[in-house]
Amino acid sequence: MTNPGDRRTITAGLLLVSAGVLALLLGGLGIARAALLSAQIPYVVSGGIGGLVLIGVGLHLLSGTALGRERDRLAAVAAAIALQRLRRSPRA
Amino acid sequence: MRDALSWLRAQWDRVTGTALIAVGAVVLVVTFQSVANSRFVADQIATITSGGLGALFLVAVGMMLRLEGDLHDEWRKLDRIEAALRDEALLDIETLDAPAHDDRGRALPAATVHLMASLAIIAAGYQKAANSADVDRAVTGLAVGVAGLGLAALVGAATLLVGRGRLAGRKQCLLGGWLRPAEPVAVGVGAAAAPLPTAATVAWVGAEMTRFHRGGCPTLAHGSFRSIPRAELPVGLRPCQICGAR
Repeated sequence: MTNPGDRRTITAGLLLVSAGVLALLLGGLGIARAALLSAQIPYVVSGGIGGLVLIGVGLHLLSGTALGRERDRLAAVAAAIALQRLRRSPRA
Repeated sequence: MRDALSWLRAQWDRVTGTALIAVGAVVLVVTFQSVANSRFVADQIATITSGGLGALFLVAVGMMLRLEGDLHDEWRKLDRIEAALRDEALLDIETLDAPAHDDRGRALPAATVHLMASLAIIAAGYQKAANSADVDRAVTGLAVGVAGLGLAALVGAATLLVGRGRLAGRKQCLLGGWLRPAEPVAVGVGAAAAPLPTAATVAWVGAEMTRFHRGGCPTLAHGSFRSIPRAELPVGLRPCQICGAR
């Protein structure tokens, strides 16, 4: 079960990864169509490196969501233990 | 203002990481402009070595810092749990910049030294590629730069993997007893004839409770609970976040 914030982050991550893959494909297409080496290199930067950056940031967002869920669970455990302590010794 | 400063101090890793990613994106756009405006291949390769690889380096370090921040948060929460389990004074839940007992003080400086070394290799690659009309020489410089970037990626990945490994070990030490898989629970008079229900088919509920639990959840030790088939869960009950019931 994911909360709305997580869902937004996951959507953004998936969009970025998709955009990165698209950039790689378009970059490859551009390189194939350009006749001169000097005309091909800009596609390496925009499509190749740009695509890699987009995919990397997208994957980073997706993995961050999983870590966030883990943190929420740990926070819930900490809160439950603290509550238990308070019930056991209300003056503490 | 003081709140903002203390927030910045507590979240310096995430703020720096996000800033590095943004700077990397800007550097990439500037590099593209520069490469697109140049007609000389050797010049273009030199620009890629500095701007392109530099942008990738910035983005990679930014992501590493942000993930490090996530791990640090988990350490801090484990500190709170350990303090509670040992009956020590609880750390203030609102204190964002409470120090965590992780080994970040040693891990981050070591990673920084290695990242600086890889940045120096990228710079050496640029030096080789720059100010030369020779394409072969420029390609060699690019290869040196890529090697430097590869080293940076390895350092970042190793730092995060070691951090995650230590965190998993501490989690296991602290919470291992509670995280064991739940035992199958027999319910009803005719249970012997029916197949034993498993944790996936049974949920634990308590009177006037708003959440349902899995078998083995620590909450079950504090109150009166009964197990019921998952299919018969009352509408409106939410899953417990401690045991991760679903």
